[in-house]
Amino acid sequence: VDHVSFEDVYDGQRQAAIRLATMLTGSRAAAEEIVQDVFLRVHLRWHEVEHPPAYVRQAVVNACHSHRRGQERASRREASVAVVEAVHDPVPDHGLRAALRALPDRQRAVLVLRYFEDLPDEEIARLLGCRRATVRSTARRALQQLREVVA
Amino acid sequence: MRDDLGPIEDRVRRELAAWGNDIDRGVPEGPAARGPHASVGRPRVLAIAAGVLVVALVGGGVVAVAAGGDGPGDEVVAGDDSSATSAPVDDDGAVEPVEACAPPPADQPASDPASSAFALDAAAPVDGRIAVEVTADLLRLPGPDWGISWDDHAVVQQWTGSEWIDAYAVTGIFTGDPAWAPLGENAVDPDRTSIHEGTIVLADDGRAGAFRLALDAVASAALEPDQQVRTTLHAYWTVPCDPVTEPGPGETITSSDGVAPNGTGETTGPTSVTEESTVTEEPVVTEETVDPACPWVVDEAARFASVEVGGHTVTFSWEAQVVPDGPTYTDDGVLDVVATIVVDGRSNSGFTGYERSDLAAQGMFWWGAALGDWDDVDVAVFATERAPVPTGTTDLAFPLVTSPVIPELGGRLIVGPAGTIAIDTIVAEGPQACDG
Repeated sequence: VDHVSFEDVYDGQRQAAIRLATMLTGSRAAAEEIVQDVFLRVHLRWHEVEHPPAYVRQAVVNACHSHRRGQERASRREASVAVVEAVHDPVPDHGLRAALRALPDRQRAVLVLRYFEDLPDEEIARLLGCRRATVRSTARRALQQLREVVA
Repeated sequence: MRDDLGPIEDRVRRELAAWGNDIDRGVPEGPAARGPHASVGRPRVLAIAAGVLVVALVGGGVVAVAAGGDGPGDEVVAGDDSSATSAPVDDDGAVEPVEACAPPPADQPASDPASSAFALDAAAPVDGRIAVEVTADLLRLPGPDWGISWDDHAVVQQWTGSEWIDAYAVTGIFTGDPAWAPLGENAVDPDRTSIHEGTIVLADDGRAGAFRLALDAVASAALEPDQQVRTTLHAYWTVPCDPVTEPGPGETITSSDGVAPNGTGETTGPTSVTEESTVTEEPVVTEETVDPACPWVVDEAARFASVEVGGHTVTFSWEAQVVPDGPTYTDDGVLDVVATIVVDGRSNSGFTGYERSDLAAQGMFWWGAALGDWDDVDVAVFATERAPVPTGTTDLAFPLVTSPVIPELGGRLIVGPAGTIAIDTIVAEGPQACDG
């Protein structure tokens, strides 16, 4: 990555990364946390990163997935119940966005990557670690669910 | 080929686009973003990391808001020992030497300006606190409906031998009432004076030299606050130099910031100030800095030390991503500092410090860190929220959370002009065991 600096990637990708992470986690606060962690890792491995934007996107997707798993684990701990519940409070908005938020993580991720990031299914499959057919079926189920909600 | 589900796809696309715009504009996302977690910064992160960490952070406390100077001339404070000096940073980022024990200027008044409607009475700080009394002469103000207040920005300045420079950041808020109040409210007849009392808390004290407190008193009309009279008041004191640390003839004493206070520029300490206005430091640990009675407490002189805490070896280092010619904060409100904490020789993460745009209006600033994977956090380092200080100095607290030991790391973030950033004076403290 000798043609681009870390600062350039940071400036150019950070906000997009926050958008993506916010949509994947449903929390702006968590997204900022994740993105800062991602960029730190990118910085530490800067000389190993061949395609920074792709690396950042992959790292954000992975970190969001990890984040959700961590929340699920934390929610099982008695000491954290109150706080985690607060973080997971359903957002009191209505309509399509609320329905998007309510989708299962994988379904929401597929829709965000497909319709917001405009990524091809093949790339989505790579990011999510699944087959392209799985991306298609997941998207179909998600869209059907949304259609029922907003109908 | 993608499935065609008709208009729902377009609606999803539009809604996601709108969502993205809302994120960019900082529109609150709901309870997770605008609830109590956002207001205190870190707890939500703790919830993400591990439930056990939440309790530890709540016990970490909140540190006072800092107020710093701005522009060229702002200080870089290095070290906390009593012989340390302050050094202003000029336009080029060079550190100007400061004569710590310069005698006070010959013409210093007891308080000035004598002709103003106000007078300030303040003594030398005791335990980092300055008792302040501002007196207003009612008869000198434009009208009976005017009132007075204090500006909440105050600084302690040190005499360098040729000029006054900002020396100590004022972290505390007046414990008196700096808010506007009608003059008659505190009037003391028959003197027709209004007396306001309060306390100023400093980020630091104890250095030798000649100092003065600069405090703005403001008188304004009751119904038209824009009509005001602002007067900067000064109160002076001197802290004699310790004979042991005072340089003798031909002797050079090097302060902990690596700059000889006599201005020779000789450096023997770990600090160097580069031409790029970046203050860099290397870990320095000496056995003498550890209090044997409280082994996890490291003396203030130990900076960036490898600290033994609760059986863990914690090493703190940092790297500033300085914006060469721009402001310290980027357009995104990010303070470009990356710091790394290594525990027991391993770390796959670190932390960055930045100002959250949605908290900026609340005067919040926070740092965070996690060690280990998010999925399996066994050691984590977090900071409580701070006040954003475009330039200036603020103290930081880093609750280091382990189980069962919950010590805290503390430090000082120094933000100078033109992106100069340093973190200084890392200390470790036990939970409560050493309080007594």
